[in-house]
Amino acid sequence: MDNSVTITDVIAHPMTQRLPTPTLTSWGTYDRVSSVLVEVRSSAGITGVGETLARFAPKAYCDLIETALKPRLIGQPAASIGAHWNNMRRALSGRAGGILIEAIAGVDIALWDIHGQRTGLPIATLLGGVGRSTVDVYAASVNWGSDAQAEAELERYIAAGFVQIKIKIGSDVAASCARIELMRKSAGDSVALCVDANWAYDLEGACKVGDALTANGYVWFEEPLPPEDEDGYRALHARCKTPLAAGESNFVTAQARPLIEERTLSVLQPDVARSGGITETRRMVDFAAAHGVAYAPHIGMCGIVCETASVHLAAAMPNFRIMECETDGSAFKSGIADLPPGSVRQRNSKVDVPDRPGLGLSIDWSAVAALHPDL
Amino acid sequence: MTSDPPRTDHIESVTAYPPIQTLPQPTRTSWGTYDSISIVMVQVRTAQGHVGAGEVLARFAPSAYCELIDTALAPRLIGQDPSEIFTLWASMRRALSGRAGGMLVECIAGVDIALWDIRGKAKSLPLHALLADSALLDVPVYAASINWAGDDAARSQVDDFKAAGFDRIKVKIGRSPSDAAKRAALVRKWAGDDVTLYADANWAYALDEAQYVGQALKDTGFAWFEEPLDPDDEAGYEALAQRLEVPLAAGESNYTAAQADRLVRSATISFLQPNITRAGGVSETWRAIQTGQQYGVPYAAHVGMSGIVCETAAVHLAAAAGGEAQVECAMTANRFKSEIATLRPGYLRAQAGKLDIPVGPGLGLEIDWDAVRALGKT
Repeated sequence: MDNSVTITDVIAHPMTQRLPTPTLTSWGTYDRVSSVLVEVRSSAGITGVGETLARFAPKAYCDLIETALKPRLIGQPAASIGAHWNNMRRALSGRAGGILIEAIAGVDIALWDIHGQRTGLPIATLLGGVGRSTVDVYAASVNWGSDAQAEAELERYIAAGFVQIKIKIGSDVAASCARIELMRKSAGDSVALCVDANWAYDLEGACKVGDALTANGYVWFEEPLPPEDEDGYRALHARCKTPLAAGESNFVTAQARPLIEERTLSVLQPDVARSGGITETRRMVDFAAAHGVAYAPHIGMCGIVCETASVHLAAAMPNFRIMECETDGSAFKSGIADLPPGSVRQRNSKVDVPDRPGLGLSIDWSAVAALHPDL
Repeated sequence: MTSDPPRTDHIESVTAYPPIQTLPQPTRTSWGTYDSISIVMVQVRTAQGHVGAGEVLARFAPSAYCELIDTALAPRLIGQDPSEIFTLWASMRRALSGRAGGMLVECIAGVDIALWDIRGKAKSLPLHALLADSALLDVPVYAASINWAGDDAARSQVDDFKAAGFDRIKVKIGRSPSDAAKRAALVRKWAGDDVTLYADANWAYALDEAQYVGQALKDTGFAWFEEPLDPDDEAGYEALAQRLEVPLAAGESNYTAAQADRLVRSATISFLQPNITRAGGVSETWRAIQTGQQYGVPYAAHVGMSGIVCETAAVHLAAAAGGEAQVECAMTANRFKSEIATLRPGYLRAQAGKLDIPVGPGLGLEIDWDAVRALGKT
């Protein structure tokens, strides 16, 4: 183990933006969202960057990172990533979950970025996986708006060459079923469709929506119920032929475990910026692979660092199926790095895997500073 | 329940304070050594002049908790009816997505306790009477804890706790497993057979080690084995319960009632130990207590290094729960208990292993907010 490169500083950068168009989900309407970038500096002069999922209260996340995590890292060998993960997890007691694990995610991704730059290898290669040079992506999302708006979004995604498209559905069961049918009619049979419900339904409503999905040949039904309602997912799986997908609400492997083990879920969708970074996300994706469950990275409103870390995981993990390509035009995805976002890079529903060392991107820190929430 | 207060009242302000203290003596557990700790105190004021006090479990990084309350929770509360506690709970839970847990739920706990304090004051009823009829005047408490330190220090703690009238004592155990087994036998010898002993491992062991220690605890007549494993290792707890006769206890690591569900329903744990300032406050902790009661698993409130609001709210919940419910009486001098309220801490009030239930409205104590602010500046 090479311990000569040590961590010299950990800086958390809060970012807030007004969304160009508000994102409507059954969870709520987002018109202003935040994220946090974590900058880790090392004695070799190498700086790594990670991202922490922090939709709101980003300064609380930054305070936690700099108060509770940074003292556990300064002076430590940058390459001992697993040891740092365990140590950071002990910054607060209680079951693993919440803001702490999201904060750890940001640091963890930055440490992998340093590790890659140090060794001259892309993270995908460091992960020792199956060596994809491109990854399949699907368009996200057709928003929960009017029919006309939804049809226009669908057409735009089809024209852009996407082979799979995600449709957001909402809490009204009848309206959701109508939308499911309309999107299938408009898309034709050559495009794969999936839906995301963002916890919209109770069990009976989810069963009805599930019937509509099955009748219209959808490939997955994402987060129909609140993530803690595991018995609900089991009951729905018994009554719904469309495969179930979930995982963006998980922080650690222990939370993903029950529904994977019993094959209630067919698709696991961790967000690397929430679920403990590359270290923990890889653990849960490997666990899913051992049980025949596919990996479909969640990106949502996260930024370019989350997306790029996910591209590396997607390139490496054998059970990777398809990755979310968020087309929201977010300032966290374009304009803060020298790598264009997946929505710009995608061709024929594929995104290239960066081949530079580490994450394979450089951050424009002045652009990040311009997104500071106090401005 | 009596009728709700007039609906004209609304929440005017929500303020979070981050008191910090250096412990007079460091607390040593297998988790780590604590020499400086914090909590967050939440003050909720209403238009009708009610002031409620709540507490957030926030051992470290208290300013991060305050920022979260100020930024993400307060805007969901200002102007709302303080009596709509369940509605406000659900709204606060939606401040962040992801599974319920972590700092968000700890912050919700602080607000929730303050709202229940206000409800009690508005109705002129003590908190426990808002939850259930109870004729109790006091609740059983146990002394916590014999530290995981040298034998001499441990022995004098046993003597002190017995002299203070406690007939239930908790012992911290850690690594190695054989040292833990020796400590269990020694404490039993020092305490005698008339004292009920509990052991708390703070996640110290792997499954096979826990089996070894648990056998030693059974042999020395311990009444529970607390948090032997990582709280997320539920399959491990289930396996351990199959291998051991000593009852298992857990729950202080839970944030929600749902997280208690599996081990309660599978009869894996025999005592449920939520900390009210972590597990979502009065509303959510009461739900967890009721789940436990349905399955014959009594409430054994965790207090630990928390402050006077945590301890006092736990006494009210134990009073309302009745039956075998009991409360941890942390014996370490603690400025969050002794310096910020009119009510004296349990470690000074306890008599013959019982703690009186405050009779005033709400929590039954008044917070000295100047003292709270002063501790935030140290």
